[in-house]
Amino acid sequence: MRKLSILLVGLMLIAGLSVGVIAADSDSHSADANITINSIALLQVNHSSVNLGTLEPGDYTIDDGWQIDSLESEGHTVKAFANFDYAITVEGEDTGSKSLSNTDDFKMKGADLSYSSVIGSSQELVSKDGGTNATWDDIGYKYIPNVNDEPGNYKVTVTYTLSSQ
Amino acid sequence: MKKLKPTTVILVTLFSCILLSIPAPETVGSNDPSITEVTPIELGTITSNYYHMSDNSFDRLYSSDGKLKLSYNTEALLKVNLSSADPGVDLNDLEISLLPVEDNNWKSFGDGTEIQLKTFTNTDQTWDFVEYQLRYLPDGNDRPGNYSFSLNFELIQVGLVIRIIGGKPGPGKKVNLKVSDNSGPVGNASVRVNDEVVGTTNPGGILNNLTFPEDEEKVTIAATHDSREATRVFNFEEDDEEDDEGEEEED
Repeated sequence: MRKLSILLVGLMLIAGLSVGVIAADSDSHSADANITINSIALLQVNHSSVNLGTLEPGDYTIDDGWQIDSLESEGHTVKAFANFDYAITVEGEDTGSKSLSNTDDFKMKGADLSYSSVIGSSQELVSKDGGTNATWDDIGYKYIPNVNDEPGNYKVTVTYTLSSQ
Repeated sequence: MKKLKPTTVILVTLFSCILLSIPAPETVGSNDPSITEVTPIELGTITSNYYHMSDNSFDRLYSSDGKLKLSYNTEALLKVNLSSADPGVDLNDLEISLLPVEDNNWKSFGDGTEIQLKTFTNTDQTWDFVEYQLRYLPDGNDRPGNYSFSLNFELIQVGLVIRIIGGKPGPGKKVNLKVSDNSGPVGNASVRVNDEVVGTTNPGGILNNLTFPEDEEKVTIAATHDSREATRVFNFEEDDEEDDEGEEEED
């Protein structure tokens, strides 16, 4: 008898639960969406060639040596953007048919860099937070004359590199 | 035959009374709003081609078209929210629109609240395909990586709906019906059978013992409350029930 009572109570509970199903007045459904953001880095060097000028015989005197401190070209522009923290470095290479007698005499400046030798030595122009679009228009190049340089044309190739920090 | 004990008889009687006193379940008919299908979408990849250094701007990224299959036959509202937004992306820049896109259809997820996409009022149909699209406007502060979102679509009944909660529709048959909206039962709704007023729902939204006509092949039940109306059409000539407001299979 006791078992029967338990069974009946159980049936009643099941019945109660089963009739508790009600109609829904709303429905929902989910969908996933994904975005991939690649690393984006753009570097614009707005000058492909810079002429520092020509050393003339009059630029040198027997008594006082070179009458000019340097051959310079300044006010050149570099622009950059990256969506990550980045640094821009420069490094020069003596690529002319004649080699400079002292590569340290070729120097560069701009952004956070004051005039520094760059041939064979990478120098950091600037470092920036990601997302910053920046322009530097104070890029300068100069060459300090050296009496050991032979007559001729000299060329230095400067490579700008933007890399993550 | 074994004779039942008096206590057993009492318990069985009690059980039967309880069962009878419990109201019949509401029929979960096809007039309940539902989203039966959602196709996934792909927003794709933002590359350096999307960025313009000249004016420090980005192009927008548009997703593939997503599709929802909706089932409704009462006025229904389609809403969407982002249930798991990635904090790495500014949600002000993530927008959604139903297609075709018309002016100002794009809605931003920026404020974190649900977006109401569309109210479906064309209740003479029981299902519909809806296409949607996302777009994202990158900015310089977005960092490289993969970002995921979970879009949660919800279709909510906002109009009146008639549900048969007791009995089986058929010529000469009696049924109990319930009129409700998304807030619950709708009392004092006027109920008509083939344009003849047959009663009014009680505060629980119920009208009992509604009798179907004996000789009608097609019976339209309509419920009206204020300016809202729901109708259901039962066709007894064929096996299928055509239901302008709540299509449902009918034997």
